[in-house]
Amino acid sequence: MMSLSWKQRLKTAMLLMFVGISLCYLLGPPLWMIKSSISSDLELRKVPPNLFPPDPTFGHFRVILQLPGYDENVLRENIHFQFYRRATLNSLIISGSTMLIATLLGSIFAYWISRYVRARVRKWMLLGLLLSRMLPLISVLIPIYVMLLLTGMLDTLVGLIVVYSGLLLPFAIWILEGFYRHFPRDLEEAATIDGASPFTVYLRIVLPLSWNGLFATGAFVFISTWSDFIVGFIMTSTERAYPISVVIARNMSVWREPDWGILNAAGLFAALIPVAIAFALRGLVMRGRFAGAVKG
Amino acid sequence: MTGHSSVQGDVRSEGRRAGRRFRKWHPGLSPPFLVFNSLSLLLIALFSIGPLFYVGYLSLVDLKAGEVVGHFVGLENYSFVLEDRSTRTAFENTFYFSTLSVMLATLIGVAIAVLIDSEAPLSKLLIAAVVLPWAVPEVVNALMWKWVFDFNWGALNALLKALGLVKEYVPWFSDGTKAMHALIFAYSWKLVPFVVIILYAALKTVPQDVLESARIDGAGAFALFRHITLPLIMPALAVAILFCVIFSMRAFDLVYLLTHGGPGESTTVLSYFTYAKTFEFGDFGAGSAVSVLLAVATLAVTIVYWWLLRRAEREQ
Repeated sequence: MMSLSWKQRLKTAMLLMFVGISLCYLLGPPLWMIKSSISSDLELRKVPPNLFPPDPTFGHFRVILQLPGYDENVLRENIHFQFYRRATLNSLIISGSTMLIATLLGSIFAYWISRYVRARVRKWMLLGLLLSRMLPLISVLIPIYVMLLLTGMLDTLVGLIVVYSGLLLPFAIWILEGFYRHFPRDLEEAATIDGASPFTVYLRIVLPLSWNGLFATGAFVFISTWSDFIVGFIMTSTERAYPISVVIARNMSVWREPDWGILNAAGLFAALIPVAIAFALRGLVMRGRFAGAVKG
Repeated sequence: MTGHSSVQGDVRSEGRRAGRRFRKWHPGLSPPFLVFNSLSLLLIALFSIGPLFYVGYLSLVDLKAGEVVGHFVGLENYSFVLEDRSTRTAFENTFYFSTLSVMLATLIGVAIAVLIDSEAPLSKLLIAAVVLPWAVPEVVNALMWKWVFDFNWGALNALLKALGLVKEYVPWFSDGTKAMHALIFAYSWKLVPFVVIILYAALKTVPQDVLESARIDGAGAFALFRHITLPLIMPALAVAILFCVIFSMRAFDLVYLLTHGGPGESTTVLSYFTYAKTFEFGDFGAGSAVSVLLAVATLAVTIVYWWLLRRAEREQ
């Protein structure tokens, strides 16, 4: 066993090559985006482009975040980016609130149907929930638009939070029901015999033990809300409620060449939070526990 | 005084007893559960289920701008939409877009899942990288690919020219076929994580001893995959594929941000078509009719999906 046989070496080399190709495919475009976000405007227009920018700059980030010393002319040319900071805050509020509402309500509902609804009925309820959300989002946006219009909640943060909560609750219930179905019941039974009411059992015993499921669901709801474009796009019209993705999209006009440096910086910044969450939770995701409910 | 309070006490204890009887009949119906669950049901009814019925209604009426209730026109909107040549094009485009992007995503996804499962060197890095396309917001995904495909300064043209694959830079969005294929490539990138996540879980359940004994019997790597692994992961693969089909049928953001359905109508898929009809031309009847048609098509796919999921569960 001095060395591996040539056949095994060849196999390792082949595998390594395939892994390399896969990594290039998955990471290539985002890495190019990172490179572009720190390149000067001159550098971005270079043919052929450099692989690494010779003089990296954070000027684009300074503009979108309006940090001291930013170039005001650039902001004036990319008029919608003056709302970028506000939109980041909006998105944090919207996604955070939706996460809390959908996860908590979803957890209670999922626990309840997993314990107090007969298996047959539960099956149909879950199927109905899944079906209602599998249909194209565009089909339900017309009525939702009308509803918000009539209640005066168009272009408000509250309106968006309520809509996203309603749209994501079925997914939260779906994920958490799978979680509670496999939850050990001995503790609950013991507490019930000791005279605790059903809700007390849920609150005192089940909830503190379901952080895994709650984290996974919360992360999923947060990422979905943060990443959404079309709901925010149709339901907002001013910076009062613009989510981050709408501000970016409004600067991607088809009528003129976009400012690629600014756009790449803005896109990169908008992707930071969801990507960080996904990395932190990749173990939970990859275990396939909620593979059946990961939404696009 | 005492009589009064004792009557009250009686009523109260009677009420409590009734509540207890009720809970005995259905122990889950305690007040906190009732309150929270009604709230959930209200939200779901208002935003997930109710709108579906309202869209169905809208597709059967003629609605003027600013109205909520229209007058009934039967299936007129449907016949209008179905006679429209553009609807047919949108259906064909959706079919083409979904089929190709799902096929591409499945091929790449299976390859990556197998690589991760084989514990090849650096495959830990692959696990971390594969969640990226899922986590990147749709708009960022769109702008990233728009930049990659950019005619003058895009990375793809530069790369192809450096490799000597093209002589001149390619204008990716100037003709229909190229634009459609660019969209398909960009969208499949977003789909790959779903395939990998579902298949990776399935690959873990393939029994190693079976593979080992077949290997000892002299089976090659490809034969092992073709005759042992593939049949075992088939139910999961079917689920992954159908999931991707459902997603790809609702793809909107990428189309809207990269091509606006153009050039001409060459990348107008149904969801973009619905959007344009409703929110750009203000034709709620026709838009609703198209979205009902799209919903029915998706529903058909979802039913198959559910059926396969059940069967896969039963087999496990």
